[in-house]
Amino acid sequence: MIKKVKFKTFKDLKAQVLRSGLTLPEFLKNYEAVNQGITVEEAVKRMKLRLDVMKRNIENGLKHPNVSRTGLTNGGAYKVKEFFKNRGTLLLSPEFTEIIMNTLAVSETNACMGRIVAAPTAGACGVLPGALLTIAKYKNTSDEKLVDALFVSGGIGEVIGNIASLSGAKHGCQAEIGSATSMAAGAIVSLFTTDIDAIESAAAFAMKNLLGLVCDPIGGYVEIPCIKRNVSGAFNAISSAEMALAGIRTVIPFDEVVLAMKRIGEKMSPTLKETAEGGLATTPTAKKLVKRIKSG
Amino acid sequence: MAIFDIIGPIMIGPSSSHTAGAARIGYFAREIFGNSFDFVEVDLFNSFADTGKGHGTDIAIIGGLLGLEPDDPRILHSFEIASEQGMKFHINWNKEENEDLPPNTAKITFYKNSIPFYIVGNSIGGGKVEIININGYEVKLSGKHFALIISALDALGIAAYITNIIAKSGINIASMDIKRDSSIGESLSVIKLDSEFPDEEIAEFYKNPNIKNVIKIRKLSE
Repeated sequence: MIKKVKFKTFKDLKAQVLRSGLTLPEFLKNYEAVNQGITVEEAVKRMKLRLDVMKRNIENGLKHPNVSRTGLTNGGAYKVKEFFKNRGTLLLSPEFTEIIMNTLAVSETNACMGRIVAAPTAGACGVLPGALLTIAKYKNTSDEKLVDALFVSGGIGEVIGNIASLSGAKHGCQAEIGSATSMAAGAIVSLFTTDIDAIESAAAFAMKNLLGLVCDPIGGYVEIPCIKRNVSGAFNAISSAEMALAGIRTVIPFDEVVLAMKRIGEKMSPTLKETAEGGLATTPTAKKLVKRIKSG
Repeated sequence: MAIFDIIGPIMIGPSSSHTAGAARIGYFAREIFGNSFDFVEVDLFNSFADTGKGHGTDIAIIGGLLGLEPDDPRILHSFEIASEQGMKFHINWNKEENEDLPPNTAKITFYKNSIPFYIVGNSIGGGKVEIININGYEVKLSGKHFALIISALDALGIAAYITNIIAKSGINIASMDIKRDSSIGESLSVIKLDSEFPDEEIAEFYKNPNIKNVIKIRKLSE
């Protein structure tokens, strides 16, 4: 067993993993078990619970149109599913369409007060299952491997939390969808290789692509634009993972990308950080909608 | 931060602060006061009052007060369950901004035989909460520890008496905080413990006539 451990940066994490002789997921399972005071088996079991909730969200989230309390969410995932069922693939492949509808299914489940896994936040909870589980389906990935991948995504999230923050109120949407997409990108790469540099690059690409993204939810509700941003986050994760798997390596180390995210977040106006006082939230249409929701 | 806090918590959406945190405040309040009350009044402040309707803050808090954890899908039907169980409640949406309170704050007032007892909770993000006030005494409880909350008349030697009983039970004290309200001659001690204080030894405290009330708090689950 490893003694109580901590890592702050990805560089730090990588050094400890190399020293331990373990793979990244093995190291992170041990890490979490030791810090929680539980066995590795128990840690795996707890992560499996999370995986099961994610799977159920995709399944149940597509059964009928999801309508939220505010009415801002109104059956998007179901619409994509029905279109696909009746007319087939529109633009690319079935996989492409499935990533859209699976991600929507999870995020809409959240908006409609369903039971979800915050990853890293509730508002960004669709990215990881939408991207990772859809790929896993087409690659026949085992649950065991998926649990490992979730530990990898958790490790990446932890680095972001250590260096910057995972909160939209602190650093904008780049800290929520941005973090989720980094976590998903690294997790996807980990399904195909143990190369920690490839994992780092995927996470770095994904975050770089969303730097500067503001958090401007209409009325402060985690619906518009959050739900569809989950979809763009899922695709961003997949393209980042594919570039890293093809051998492209990030020029800027992941730690520095996260530091850049933090600096941008600090410079971001408070009106663009979850306060619903700027961006999309203050458009004339948004104001009208919010007035209607709050009076009804 | 734990990995399970990043891939987690498992919770009822849509908001970790406005829904999961709200449920946890209700659950925590019930853990402190118990479930024997005639009426409960919930005051929502600031962002809780502003966007709580759309986030289900109201039904989440009532769910918590019914003993439902933040990942319990029955939260969706908490108002119906409350009426089935005969739990009477009222929710006040305080629309006026209160600058003295944190952004996501709920005050929960229990009435038993018309005597009020209140708890103020603050949702600090990621589903985590803090109880910041119990009946006028400022505290800081997160549910991470087992704890005892003891109110007593402000008499000499009370702290020694309390710690002596805890020491005899063989339980380690993680921290102890004593607040005095000299205007009414009372003190409130919040003692965080490494493990659970045994129920059968609670009576020991009451042997001291200056001790008025002992509340035991369990560690809240993940």
